[in-house]
Formats: sequence, structure tokens, C-alpha cells
Amino acid sequence: MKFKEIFNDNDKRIIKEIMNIMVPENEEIEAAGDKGLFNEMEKIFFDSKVHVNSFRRILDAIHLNIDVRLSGSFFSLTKENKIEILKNLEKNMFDEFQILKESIFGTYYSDSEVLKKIGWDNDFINKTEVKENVWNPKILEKVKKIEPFWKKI
Amino acid sequence: MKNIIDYIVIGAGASGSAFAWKMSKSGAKVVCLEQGDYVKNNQYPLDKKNIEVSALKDWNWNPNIRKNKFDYPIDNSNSPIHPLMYSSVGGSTLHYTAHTPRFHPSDFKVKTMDNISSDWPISYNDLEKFYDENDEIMLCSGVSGDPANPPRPKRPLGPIPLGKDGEIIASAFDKLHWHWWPSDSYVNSEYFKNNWKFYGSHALMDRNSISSTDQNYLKQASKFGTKIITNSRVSKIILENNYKARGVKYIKDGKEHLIEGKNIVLASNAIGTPRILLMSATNNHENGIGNSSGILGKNLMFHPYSFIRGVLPGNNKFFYGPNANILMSQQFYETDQNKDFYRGFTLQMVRNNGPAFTALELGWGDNHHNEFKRSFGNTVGFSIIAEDLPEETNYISLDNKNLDSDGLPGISVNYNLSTNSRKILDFAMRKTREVLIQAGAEILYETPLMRYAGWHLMGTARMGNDPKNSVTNKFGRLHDVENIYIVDGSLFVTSASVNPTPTIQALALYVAENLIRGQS
Repeated sequence: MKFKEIFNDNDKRIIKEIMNIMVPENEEIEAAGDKGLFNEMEKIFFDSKVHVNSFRRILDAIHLNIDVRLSGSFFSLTKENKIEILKNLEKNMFDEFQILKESIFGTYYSDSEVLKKIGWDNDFINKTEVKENVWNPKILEKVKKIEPFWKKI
Repeated sequence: MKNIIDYIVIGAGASGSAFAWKMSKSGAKVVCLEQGDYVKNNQYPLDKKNIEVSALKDWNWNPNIRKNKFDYPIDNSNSPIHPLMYSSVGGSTLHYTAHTPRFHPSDFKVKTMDNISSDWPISYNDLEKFYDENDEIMLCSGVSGDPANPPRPKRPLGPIPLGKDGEIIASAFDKLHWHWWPSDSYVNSEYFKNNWKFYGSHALMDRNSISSTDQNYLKQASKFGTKIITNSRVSKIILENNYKARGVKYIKDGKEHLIEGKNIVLASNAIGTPRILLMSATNNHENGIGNSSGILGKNLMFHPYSFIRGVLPGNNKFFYGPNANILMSQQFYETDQNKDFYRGFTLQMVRNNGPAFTALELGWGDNHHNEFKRSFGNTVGFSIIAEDLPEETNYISLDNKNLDSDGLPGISVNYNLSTNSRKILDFAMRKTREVLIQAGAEILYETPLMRYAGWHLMGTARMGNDPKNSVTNKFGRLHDVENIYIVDGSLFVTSASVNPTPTIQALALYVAENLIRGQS
């Protein structure tokens, strides 16, 4: 299932906006949508019908939202309004919103620039820490003083 | 060739593998039908950078998201907890934390102890030697002497180091004078001696560091003659007469096959096993085979989980070591007459995840980056695992609207969290906060009930002495049919508040040994 076949340009703009709201820019990196991670998310997650359908339901709910309809579009709303809509969706469409969140965070925290910034590179994650890998039996000294308390029957 | 097979085992996971091993070792001819396939090491996500995306998609615990060919649909719309499982040779032991505490003696006798629910028809003593046997085969790491549990033999492998974060938590428990103990686990402590590093989120650990039944049981079972037929989904048990099974029908590559055998053994977990029995309904067993009591599929128990993560000060990098097999506390395990709930809970320490799963536990929006910076590598978490008591109003049923890839019915789950379970969790959350604050935590992130946490499936075909309120006898044999056995978590009468895998496997070995001795 191709993303392009499922979502129109307006839908894509809304998803990018949601990405920007959920993972905004920081001092070094652009917001998730502005960073172009929308295309990455498509590659990673949108071969899954479950993921596509969850996004579809979220978008449908946004299109039907009374504030969106009154103001003409999602983009006409203030940031606070948009956040409020998303928080309501998180509460009322928990499973779909969870998949949306997983897709956005899963994509953002797979990006090489982001991983480099947070120190999550191959050198770190494959590093063996040698100082901590010894069992210290002294750690049990206090708890061993507790009398056995399991109930016999 | 009719009846040449002694045991047709349905499911090659935690329990089916143990049963097949013991029976084939005794000389019985065993065939295992497994709806999943073998998972080779190179099919596992090896690049740690991709582990989290794998855990969110192809290796998701949730079959409704994973949607592999061998998964069946589960309608969770009437349950606040979603069942999780993995179908493969090795079953969910290919994707578990391998945290392996045992039930306590009291867990088998809650009616006698607390005047609630029902007693099991067997005791801890009946299972003890099978726990020991299973721990040897699954290579349990740990240390003996836990004051919360009966004595047990020296663990086959030494304990896994606690790590700096584990030592901080152990010290906090010590200051509170509360029980804690290094977790028994089927994670290989020998492997960790030279490989103390990040092991990945969501139990997607290096295959060499963890035991699973495809390796620890089935390799040897195959040498003893067990035949494993993969990608084979059982559609129906076929009866010879009202009281005896003849074999099973299964679907492989879109074609239906019949296999006949002297005995049928169900090992498909507490959702899959009742599903097969319900799908096998006949004119004389119109509500499913083994369901004369009317309770097949009922008394579904999960372990309701709460979760609290505390952020410790500093820039700690608490990533090293296994994700969840660190230590546990059973300070509040048993019923306390001074509290307003029955039974209790276990606290299990959980280590930091990688970045995506760290982020998913935090808020989204403007404060996300600050929260992430503060949390990443600096947290210690606790899974709070509460005992769930059986209730007939919690049940599974066939869902004929949602079909699997072979056109067989899916499952509908109907489950409500009981008041007792909620009270346990609320109390446990208060106590968990105390530990984390004692450990120095400055910020807490709390999940009062984990939705995607139905790892432990139990109780839907309970064992008992009375055919009116149980599905099998104390040897796991259906009351209604003389040659059908159950060896998985469906048999559980109550759930305890610990991970059930060792108890499930001990039960499978117990059923097998009694069959070898002619007791059934």
C-alpha cells in the first residue's frame, strides 16, 4: 500500500504539522516535519496497513472536528487549538494515536543526525562496559538478614 | 498410518517444547504442529540501531499490529489490556524478557489461605522438582537464598550483575528495610561476563544471551525423535466418539490435512488453546470440546501492570545489561489483613530503553526535548505486576467477523479490571514512589494501567477436581474427553503475581511425567 495513494497533499501537510507539534525544533535540529522526516516515516512505517489505517482515522477525526470545520482548516487554528485537538485524540482514539506517536518518534529517533546529537552512535551502543560486569555478593548482606517470610502451607 | 503417533502436540512454544522433550525422551512418538515457523538468528534484528523500529513493527508483541501470516486477529475493544504473544518454533520465548520467578506455595492455595477464589488441585510441592528440572534445562541464572521464597538448589548459572542502577535501587530497598532479590532469569550470566553492554529494548536481546525453547528443549527433543511441522494451523480436533479424540485437522499452505494420534496435547497459550477447543464444537459438544462445565474460555487472567519510571540526577548512561532481569521485590506479595485488597504484587526493576522507547514514555510537544535530555539514560523503572483473580465475566470467545489468513475465526476478548486489582495497583504505585524517591528520583512518570501488557495469558481452561467448575483434572486431562490434555497457562486456577513461564513449563513437565507413570 503506497502512502501517496492513501493520503492527499492536504493530509500530508497535516501530518507534517502534527510531527512539528509533537517533536518541535530545538537549538540544533529542526522540527520533525520540517526536517523532512515525513518521507522517512513513509519508508519505515507505511508498508503496514495497520499504520496507514491508524493515520487515516486520525486524519478523518481531524477533518470532522468542529473547530476545524468552523475555521475552514486545521491550519487556520492557533497552535494551542491544534494541541488541544491532538490531546483529545490521544484520549479518545488511544490505539490509533499510539501508533501515530510510535511512527513519529520511531522515525525521529532513527535519524542519523538526531542519534548523533544524543550520543546514540555505533561506538556507544556496541561498547562493552567493563567496570560494571562483576557480581558483587556483598550487595546481599543486608537483605540476607531478613528472616524467610514466605508462607508455608 | 493410524495411531502410530503417541502425542500430537499443538504448539511448539514454552510448554509444548518442554512436554515434547520429556515425552520423546521417554520413547514416545511425538509430533508438534506449530502455526509459526523457525526463526533463524539472522532473521532477528541484529543492528541495535534498528531494534526499536523492529519492536514497533515486525517484532511487535501485539499480533494485531505485527499481522504475520500465522497470527490470528484479536478484538480487544472490550478489554483495557491487550493480549500479546508470538507464534514460532520456540513461541513467545523468542521474544520475552526471560524473567523467571516461581509461584509461592501460597499461590496454589488462595482459597485455603485467604478464603477467595479456588485452590489449585495441586501444590507447590507437586511442581517443585519440575521447576528445578526446567531451571536446569533453561539455564537459570540467579542466586539461592531468597527469603521471600522456599529454598531452591544452587542456580545453574551465577547471578547477573546488578549494574550501577541496580545497586542504587538495592540500596534504596535496604534503607526501607524491604525485601529485594536478584531476579532469577533465563538470561545467560556467563555470556554477560564479557559482553556488558546495551542489550536493546523490548526483549530483543542477542540470541546468544538468552534461553528459548527452540534451542534448550526442541533441539534435543528432535534428537529423541520429535517431529516438528511448521506453518501448520490446527483448525479442529476430530473425535472418534464422544469421549475420545482421533486426531486433528490442520491447514498448511492453504490445504487441509488430517493427522491421527493416540493423544492430543494443547500447548497454544490461554487464548489459542480454548480457541481450538471452541472451534472443534460438534453436535454432542456444541459449546466446544471440553466445555461441559461451560467455563472453557472463561476466567481469563492477565497480570495487570502499572509502571513508574523515576529520573535520577546526573548524566548516568544506565543502559548496560539486560533490560528487565535485574532485581525484584516481593515485600507486599501476600494478603495482608490490614489492607483493603486480597493478594499482592511484585516489583520488577526495568532498565533504560533506547531513544525511541524512552521518548514514548515522555510527553510530546514543546517540553519534549527537555524531558528527553533529562531522562535518556538516567532513569530506573518499575513494572508493578499485580495478582489477577479469576472471574467468569472475563472471557474469550470466537469472533466470526474477523478471520485469520486461513479463514478461521479470530478471538474476542472481554475483560474488565477488577476492583481488587485496581486497589492492589494503587497501593503498589504508592509504595513504588517511596522506593524511587528513596533512590533519589527527582521526576516520576507514571502509567496507572499498561494497555499493551497482556504478556501473561492464564486461566481459560482451569484444572480442578470437580468437572462442574473446571475443564481438566489435576493431570491436565480434559474431564470430557479421555485423550486430550492441556499443558499451558490455560490450566492456571489463579495467577500469582509473577511471570508465569517457569510455572507453565513445570506444569508441562509434570503432566508429561505423570503420563509416563501412567497417571492421567
